[in-house]
Amino acid sequence: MEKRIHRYFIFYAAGFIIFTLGTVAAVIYEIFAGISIPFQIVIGICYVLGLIFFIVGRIYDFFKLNQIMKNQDSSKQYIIDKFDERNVSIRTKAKAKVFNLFAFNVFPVLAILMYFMNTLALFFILNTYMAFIFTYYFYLTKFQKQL
Amino acid sequence: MKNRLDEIRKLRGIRQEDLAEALEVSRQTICSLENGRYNPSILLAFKLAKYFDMSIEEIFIYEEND
Repeated sequence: MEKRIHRYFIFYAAGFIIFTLGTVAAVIYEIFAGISIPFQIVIGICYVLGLIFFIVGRIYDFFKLNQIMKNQDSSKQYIIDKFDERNVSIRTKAKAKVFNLFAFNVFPVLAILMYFMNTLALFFILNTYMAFIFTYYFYLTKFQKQL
Repeated sequence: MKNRLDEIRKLRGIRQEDLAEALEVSRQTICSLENGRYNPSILLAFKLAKYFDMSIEEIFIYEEND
């Protein structure tokens, strides 16, 4: 059942690739400012197309899920797949990996880059970082009490 | 952690699909358990033991370096 849903992962993948191309193009544009107008149009098209693909993927998922839930057998299988402990464990592991990668590598580098590009104020970066640390310790304490 | 799930299931002539349905898990979970790629939660281990009417120790083999 999960495979049936994942078939439409192509929409997300296409959206992501196009959106990334747009972002890369925007960065290149930023570095070599003053490039001709058609280049800006290409960036715009990449952004819009990427977003459209993302949205189409979400809408398709929504309707597919509704279709699955209408059928008793497929809805039962869907619920089993969703709450299956191995699947839950895989999802949790993937989330943890992404969190670690982005929270401690990608976002700090991005924040520093944005600070040096004068697009992000230092106080905003530090405040966000403090909020992140406080939220982390809040849940750490909460779960320590609960478990 | 090693287990005898594959052996016990085959001995009783139960299909992976049927076992998965009875335990309300996916067939992939049963497959991963049998291959030793995934260690079950204590809850699933109890469910398996109850299903086969055996003790957990008869199905799962604890090893020192686990």
